[in-house]
Amino acid sequence: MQRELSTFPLSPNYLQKLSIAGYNTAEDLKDVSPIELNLSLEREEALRIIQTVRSTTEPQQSSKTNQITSSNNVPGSKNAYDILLQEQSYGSIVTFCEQLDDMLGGGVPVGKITEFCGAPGIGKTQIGIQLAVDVQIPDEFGGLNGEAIYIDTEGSFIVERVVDIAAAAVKHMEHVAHSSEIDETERSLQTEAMRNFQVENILSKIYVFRCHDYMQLIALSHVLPDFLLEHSKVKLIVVDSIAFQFRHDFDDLALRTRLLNGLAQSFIKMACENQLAVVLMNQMTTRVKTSQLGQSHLIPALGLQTCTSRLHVKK
Amino acid sequence: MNRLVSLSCGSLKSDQLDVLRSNGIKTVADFISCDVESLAQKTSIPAKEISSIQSIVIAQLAAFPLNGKDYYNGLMTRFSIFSTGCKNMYFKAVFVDKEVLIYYSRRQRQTLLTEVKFFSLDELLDGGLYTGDVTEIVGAAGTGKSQICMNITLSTSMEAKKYVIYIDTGGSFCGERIKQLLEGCKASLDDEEIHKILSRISVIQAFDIFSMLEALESVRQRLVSEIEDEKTLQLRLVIVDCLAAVVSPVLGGQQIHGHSLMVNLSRILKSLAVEHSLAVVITNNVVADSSWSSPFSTKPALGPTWGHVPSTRVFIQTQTEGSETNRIATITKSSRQKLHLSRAFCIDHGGVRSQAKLTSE
Amino acid sequence: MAVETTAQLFVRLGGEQALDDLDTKLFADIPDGIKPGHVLEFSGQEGSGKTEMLLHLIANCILPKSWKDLKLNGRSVDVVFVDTDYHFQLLRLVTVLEHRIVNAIKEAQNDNHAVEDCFCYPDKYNDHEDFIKNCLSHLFIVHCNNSIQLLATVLSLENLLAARPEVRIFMIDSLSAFYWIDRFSSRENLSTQEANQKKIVSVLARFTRQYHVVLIGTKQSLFASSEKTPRREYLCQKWQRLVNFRFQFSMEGKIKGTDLVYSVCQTCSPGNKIVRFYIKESGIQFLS
Repeated sequence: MQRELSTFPLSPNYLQKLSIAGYNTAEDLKDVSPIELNLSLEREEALRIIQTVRSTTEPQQSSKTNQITSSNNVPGSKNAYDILLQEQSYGSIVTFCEQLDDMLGGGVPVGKITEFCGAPGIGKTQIGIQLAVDVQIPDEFGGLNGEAIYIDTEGSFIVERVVDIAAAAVKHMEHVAHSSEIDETERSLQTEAMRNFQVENILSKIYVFRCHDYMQLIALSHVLPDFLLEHSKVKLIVVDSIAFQFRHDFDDLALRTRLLNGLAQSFIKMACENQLAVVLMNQMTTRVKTSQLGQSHLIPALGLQTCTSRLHVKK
Repeated sequence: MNRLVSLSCGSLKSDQLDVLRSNGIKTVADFISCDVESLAQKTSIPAKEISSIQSIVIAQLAAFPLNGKDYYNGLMTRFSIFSTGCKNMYFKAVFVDKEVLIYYSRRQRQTLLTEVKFFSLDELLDGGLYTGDVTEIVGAAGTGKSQICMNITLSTSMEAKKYVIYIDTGGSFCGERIKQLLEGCKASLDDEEIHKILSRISVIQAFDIFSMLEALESVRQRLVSEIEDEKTLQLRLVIVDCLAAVVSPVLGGQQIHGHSLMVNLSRILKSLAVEHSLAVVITNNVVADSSWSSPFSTKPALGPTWGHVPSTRVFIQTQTEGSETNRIATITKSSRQKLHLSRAFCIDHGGVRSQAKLTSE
Repeated sequence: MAVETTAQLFVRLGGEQALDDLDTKLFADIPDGIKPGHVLEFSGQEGSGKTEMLLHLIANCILPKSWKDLKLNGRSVDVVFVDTDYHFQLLRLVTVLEHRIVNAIKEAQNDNHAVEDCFCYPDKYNDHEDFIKNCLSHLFIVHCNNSIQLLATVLSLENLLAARPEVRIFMIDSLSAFYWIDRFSSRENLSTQEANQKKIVSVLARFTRQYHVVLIGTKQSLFASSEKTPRREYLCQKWQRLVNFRFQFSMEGKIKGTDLVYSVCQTCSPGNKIVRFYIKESGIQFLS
């Protein structure tokens, strides 16, 4: 069975030119050089097309000659045992609320999407800001020593509140460092780490992006992978909130579902490939159910189906 | 016409190709279905030559018919049924339910502990997962599809000792959870055995449709080229969790490309199942269904074109009665079973539900 | 072009009687029954029983009239089955054949008290497995992956048809499998999209005339239908003109006892008679 060229990530423009010229499957491009590819394209473009097609169809030959172990695996696959070891080495982001941490199994997990939903005003932004501070807790205190990205769609990110929370965290860490339960070597390491864990440093490690509509949010999701390459210490992305710009002005519900699914997939890709935690804040909407009990109840908005854990926040 | 050049092994010279093109033979399809005599008259190419090249091209492109008897004999050597791991097995897992109520104001906290006991999904599937079939598990978010997939993975690796490929689109594969399930079945396993069981499971992460196509194509290439490798020879199960997540962003609107990609994807999955005798399991989401004829208020996502692909479909719903949550699996499409047969699988808070509810709607 | 000998031609022409209507219940409404050269179309939504009906008809064809002392009511003709989307399940066909043998045994022994699921074969039928395998040798299955391969395959099957005049039925399941792929690669140019399909249809039309086979094609419903948009015809005009009889399958949803009822209706026929059936483990069972 031959693989159709339309299944490769080529732009529709190239696909059209290729099909007019008579190339329909990957086999057709097997022995063609960029010059022979008579498509009125620049040579670099032709080279790129051929490389896209060939690189995915001929990986085995190179791996067979090079390493014996890599040819045993389907390219890109990981063993379940290795995944287990990898998960055990990840940390999680503590929230300083014991109950919440217990619930989440130690804190917000790295490599997954966690969704917090609740009615407006319940405190989701506070959780988001708390997490952005907590991700920066130094290793010596059991934290991740990472940086945070905060994507603000509602305009609810207020710097003064961040200062308050950061100050409280610093105070809490100092208290821990000076407590009588730990031994001397640890105490000295922790006091050393406290030097860097101060309010100004904390603020400087939170990268805030402000999005005014859903197009900006989607554009940002395409740009973030490059940003993450430059800032490899980022361990948390908070999106506050994902629902806001999608709820209004959307006549085409099918389009909305498609865009949201695409957005969720880009976030989960970032979470898995860069080993960071993604936290989404969502609003609640009312579902009026006439069949069962006749009572309406609150459900998370937008019907997102890709998060790993979902927490309802109630008073 | 380039394909014609390569297919006819260079026996057609370029000036002959030009002559053919000027007579209306522009594609391979035109060439193989043309009338030899009239074409020989219009062009100056001898009829015998056209006829022989035509036969060569047809022979290269055509599929070979199999006799039913030989097909049956071949099938029986490779056929097997895999248990879903839900046969009187008892998974004691402290599994914090997905939707949990918390009291943020630091008063009482409440967590719901659940024990999952699967024991009747195999009955629903008439013995389990058949090789050569694509089975679809459909349900809303949080109904337990990924949990079932992980159960099936573990059961195939542990009991049947076969290799599994798990294609994960949303980070739902959790090594810790697999280990929990493993320890729930057999508490006394040493590290080496755990390593062996877990090594039979390969996880591929594919977050968009092109990487999914690439992953499946590379699996197929390995099977086709018959690499002498245990991972390939003993591969019997492919799980895709969740298919809707990668297909729905490209589907819909006025785009035809999305439908064409989905059809290509479904063909690769079906060919893996039928030609290479694997059991293929897919999970799918639901969308609202306003038609009067459906027994549920939701229907599988991805539309009627996808609907033809799986041969068996299991619909999972949750039912909340008071403070208890029950999960019910119903067969909605099967080539072997009576439809709308349901089994409840029990999610309890601390207690084990010993009887399964049998409802045939 | 394949060449058929005169002897083979006579066998073919003389065997018109062998077809014997293919199935009495399904085609009861058709005057004079199904004759060689007819073209049928089965269409319907997924899960409505089209492939199951094809298996039922295959069983009717490849079984012989009788085996040992059992009356099987088969027609002993060969069938070519072109499978474009891997729907064909051989094991299901084998189950159906086994059930037919068991039912024939029960009838022969006048034993109506036996449990339906009990496959207890008396000794003289111990070689039923070999018998089933022999029946299966009258069936030819081909898998196709794209429309150009389908065209080439159909052309190459001409040799088979010429060499085996016992082939009476040519089934294609399904004709709509490559619709989306063709539509995309032709970039919404309808004539390019349907080009391959038209060629395939003309070759098939020639087969029905020349080799006197019955052609059955299935069509899936690819578009969600509602009251506003009636069922769309998306196969080419040439096919639509070729079809003699169209059958629409649907799942009725009504439950008689514990089984779901399916129905098939011949569209565009006077009277629009609806035939209802169950799908059981033993295959299709018509409601009287």
